[in-house]
Amino acid sequence: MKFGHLADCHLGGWRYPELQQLNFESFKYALETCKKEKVDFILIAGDLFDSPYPPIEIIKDTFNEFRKLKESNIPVFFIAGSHDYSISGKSFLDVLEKSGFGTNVLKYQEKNNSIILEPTIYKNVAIYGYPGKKTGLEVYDIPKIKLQDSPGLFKILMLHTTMKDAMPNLDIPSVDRESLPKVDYLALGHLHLVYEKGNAVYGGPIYPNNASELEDLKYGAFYIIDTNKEIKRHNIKLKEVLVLDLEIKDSLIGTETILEELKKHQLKDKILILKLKGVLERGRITDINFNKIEEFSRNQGVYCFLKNTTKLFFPIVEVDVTPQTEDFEKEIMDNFCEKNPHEMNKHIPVLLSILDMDKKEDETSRIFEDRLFSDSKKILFQ
Amino acid sequence: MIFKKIRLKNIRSYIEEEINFPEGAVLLAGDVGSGKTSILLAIEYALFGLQPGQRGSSLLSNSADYGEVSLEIDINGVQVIIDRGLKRSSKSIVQDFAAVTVNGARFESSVTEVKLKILELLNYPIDFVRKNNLVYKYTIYTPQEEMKQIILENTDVRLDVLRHVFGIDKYKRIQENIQRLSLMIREESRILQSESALIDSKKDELDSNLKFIKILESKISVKNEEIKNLKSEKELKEKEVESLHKLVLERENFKKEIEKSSIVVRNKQEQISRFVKDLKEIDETLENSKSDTPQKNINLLLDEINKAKEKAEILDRDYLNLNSKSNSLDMLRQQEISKKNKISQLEHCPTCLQDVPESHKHNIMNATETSIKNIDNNKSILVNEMQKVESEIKKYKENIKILEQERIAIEVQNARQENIDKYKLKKQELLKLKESFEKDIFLINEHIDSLKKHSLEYTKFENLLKIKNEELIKIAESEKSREIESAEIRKEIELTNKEMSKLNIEINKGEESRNKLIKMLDVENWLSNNFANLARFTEKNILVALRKEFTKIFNKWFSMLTTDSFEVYLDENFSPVIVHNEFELDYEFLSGGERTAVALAYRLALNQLINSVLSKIKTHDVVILDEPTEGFSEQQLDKMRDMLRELSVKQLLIVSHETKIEGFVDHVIRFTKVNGVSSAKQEDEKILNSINHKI
Repeated sequence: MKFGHLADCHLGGWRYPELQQLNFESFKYALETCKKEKVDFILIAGDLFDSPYPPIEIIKDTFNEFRKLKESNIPVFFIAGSHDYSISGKSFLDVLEKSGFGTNVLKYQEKNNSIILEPTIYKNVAIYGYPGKKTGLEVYDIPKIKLQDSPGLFKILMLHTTMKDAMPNLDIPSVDRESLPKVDYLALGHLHLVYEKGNAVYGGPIYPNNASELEDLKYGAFYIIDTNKEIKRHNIKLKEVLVLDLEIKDSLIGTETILEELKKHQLKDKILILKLKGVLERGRITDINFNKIEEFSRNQGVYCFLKNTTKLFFPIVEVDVTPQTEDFEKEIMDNFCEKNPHEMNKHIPVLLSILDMDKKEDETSRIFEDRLFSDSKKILFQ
Repeated sequence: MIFKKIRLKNIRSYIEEEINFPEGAVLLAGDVGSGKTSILLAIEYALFGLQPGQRGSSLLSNSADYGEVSLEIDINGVQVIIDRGLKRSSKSIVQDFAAVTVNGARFESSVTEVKLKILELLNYPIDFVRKNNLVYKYTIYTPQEEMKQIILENTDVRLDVLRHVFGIDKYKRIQENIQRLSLMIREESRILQSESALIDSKKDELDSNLKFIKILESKISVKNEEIKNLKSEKELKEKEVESLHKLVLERENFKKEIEKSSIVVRNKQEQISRFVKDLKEIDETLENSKSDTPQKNINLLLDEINKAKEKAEILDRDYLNLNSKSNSLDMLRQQEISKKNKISQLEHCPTCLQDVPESHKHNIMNATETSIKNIDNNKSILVNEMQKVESEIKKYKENIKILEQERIAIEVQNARQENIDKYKLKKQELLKLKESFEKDIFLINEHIDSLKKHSLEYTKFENLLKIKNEELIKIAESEKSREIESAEIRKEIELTNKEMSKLNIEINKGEESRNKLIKMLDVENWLSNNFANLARFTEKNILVALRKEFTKIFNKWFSMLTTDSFEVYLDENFSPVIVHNEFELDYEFLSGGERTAVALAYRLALNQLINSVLSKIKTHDVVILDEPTEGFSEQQLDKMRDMLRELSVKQLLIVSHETKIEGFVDHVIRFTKVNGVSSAKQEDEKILNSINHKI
């Protein structure tokens, strides 16, 4: 028996249209592969959608894919994830199920502080599932899980949660594997990493769900499990990712620096992640012409351009004031004068009001400059 | 400021309407196009009149020629009523009148004056009087269609607007003016630089001139001493020359005297020789006069001559008579011959015209012949007589000539005698004179000799004078040349002094310029460094502080209005940057509701920031939100309640067709439009409470 294990598809999660498309293409690729491999069914271990109410375009395309699966007689079994879970229980997963394109395997009873999961039986497989919840709340439920027995069947438990041994150094709520009931295959979702421990596997993500993941994982994956043979990871490498991590000190030449760096690389059809870091010694962040950089990249055939400037800093602000009063302007000036004492500083207030002068409508530049000079002279050369 | 009441007449879809605005959150509810936004436009118009670029047709009802708005507001306890009217003219719709009533005192004036008064009342920057009122726009009311425009606006435009609203644009202006000023100071300092650059060389020149003058002064004192000596030498020499000259003149006098005396001698000698010659001639004349014959008596001779002359005259007269007779005879004879010839040729009588016989002719001719013979005889006698008389006359005339000659000879003789007497007297005189002259000559010659002797003695002084004169000339020449040299030196000193005073002026001016230059460069340095840095520093820090605060507030509002894990901050241009998992997300990648949330959060943050910076403006208490939930999801709509609670303003006017909002507000004014006419109805609070309860 063969089945596909997908998780964390996060359809509609990407805001960048190209990456949203790529995300969906990865999903399609996984389904197509499953069809080619002639799987008996497909598991989706949570977060099929990025939100309980995904954009209509995504729903439309997703339903189309599910329709194709149905036509191929490949049933889909899923649970909700932390993203597409809804407290009210109303989400598009329900629509999917009601349309007959998939089965939410969450069936349970609560008894004596236990959650007794009921199986969804397909052929000789009993599929159990418990969804992910917002902010990892499922972690507190999962230890209570017990399985309604299904003797002789291949038992699969689908969870969308954090396994303690997947991220042992991270102090976040997680599930101890030992606390879980024994099954033949533990189909996990939620964590976006490679985790294959015996019969326990995190199936996704189908595609990195954000730029950091894109940088780390570069691509997505899914699994096809042949119960007689193996658990096989299928990487979905549709586009290459190029990460450029550059330090910028002078933003006035930043654009050129970045363009020079870009010229060293083959950009065609790649996802470009531009990460800038450093403390600016000259210029401002906005002095870097990102439009020009993006235009150059696009002209070079880049597939998608992402930028991260959160590690690029201004020098430390000289005066720490909050604009709560109108005197904060004076505070700033006093601070400057204190650091830069000069005999002429006493003229600053008058001079500021003199130099706050505009050319009048009927005034020529020459006359304006003469007026400016003559007024200022009285103060500067008294 | 709190809105109290608005009255509309013929404004957009309203014919006549009065709406009271309570405090708290007030929802202007109603379907799209029911006239909600018209109220907001009317409020803005009442406050500030038509905005630049706004047409009267956007407010006045199409079916009316006249419309008005009256807005009652409370500005910190001051009751203000603003009335404005719009009138349709033939070409356009114009602002008809404007009046503002403050605590009952009505002030009616021009549109601009009234706007100015309202800006004063609201404590808004006065420079908005002729501009679109951005403080109002960014703090109180942004039309719905402009909400997102603030975000999508060209960064430069937005930054300029924000600079203006926050009053930081003055730093840009100040920095530009610092550059201008600095440039002008540098230009002026260049002139001073060139003026002061030559001071050192001028000072060197002055020193060398001073040294030169000292040299010249010592030279001139030497010259003066020389001149003084030469002058006294010259004076002595002149005296010598003068005395010598007198002596020489004396000798000249001698010479002249000799010459004069010699001339006198010569004259006298010539006189004497003339005397001798005259004496000789006199002697000769006297000798010649001795041989003369005795003389006839002159009177007798004269008598004889007269008589002869009388006789001759008588004879002349006779001859003339004879001659006249002769001539008469000649004429008579001629007549007779002519008569004879005529008769001989005559055939007919001229009187009787009868033939003249030959015989008659012959007789006449004979008689004529006889007459002619007689005439000829008389003639011959007459001629004889005339010859006799003529000879007589000749004889007398010769005699008279002889007698005349005789008379002349007698007269000459008489004259000669007189001369001899005179010569004798003259001879005696001449002899006396000759003697006297000869004596004179002798005396004069003696005198001449004596003079010659003296003259010879004085000759030596002439040479001496010549020598002394030459010496004097030499001394004078020396003195003159010394004086010329001295004058030249003086001239040179004068020129050098002039040059020095010119140099002194230039040096003083240069010193002045140098001092000015130092001050100027100092000022310019301060201006283009310290002051410009101050302006930049202040502007930068104000912007940084504003941005920091803005980001803080912006983030607060935005996180309140969205569901996803976004972070927002403002870049240096105050453009909102949306960050999703550390990566920047384009605004266009957001959903419609998220975009509205960005715009609303930005707007509210800006409102809060402006109100805090411009703390003296008096519109803190009111906010108008025009369709703030466009595109909001249900969840976002739920979040609006928190947001409205957080937005602690005294009066909040919300325009929305979203019924869910009704549950979040204190009051609802419901708008309906029937047959193109809008009307408003205040919702009963009880109904509201029941709605709120249900929600």
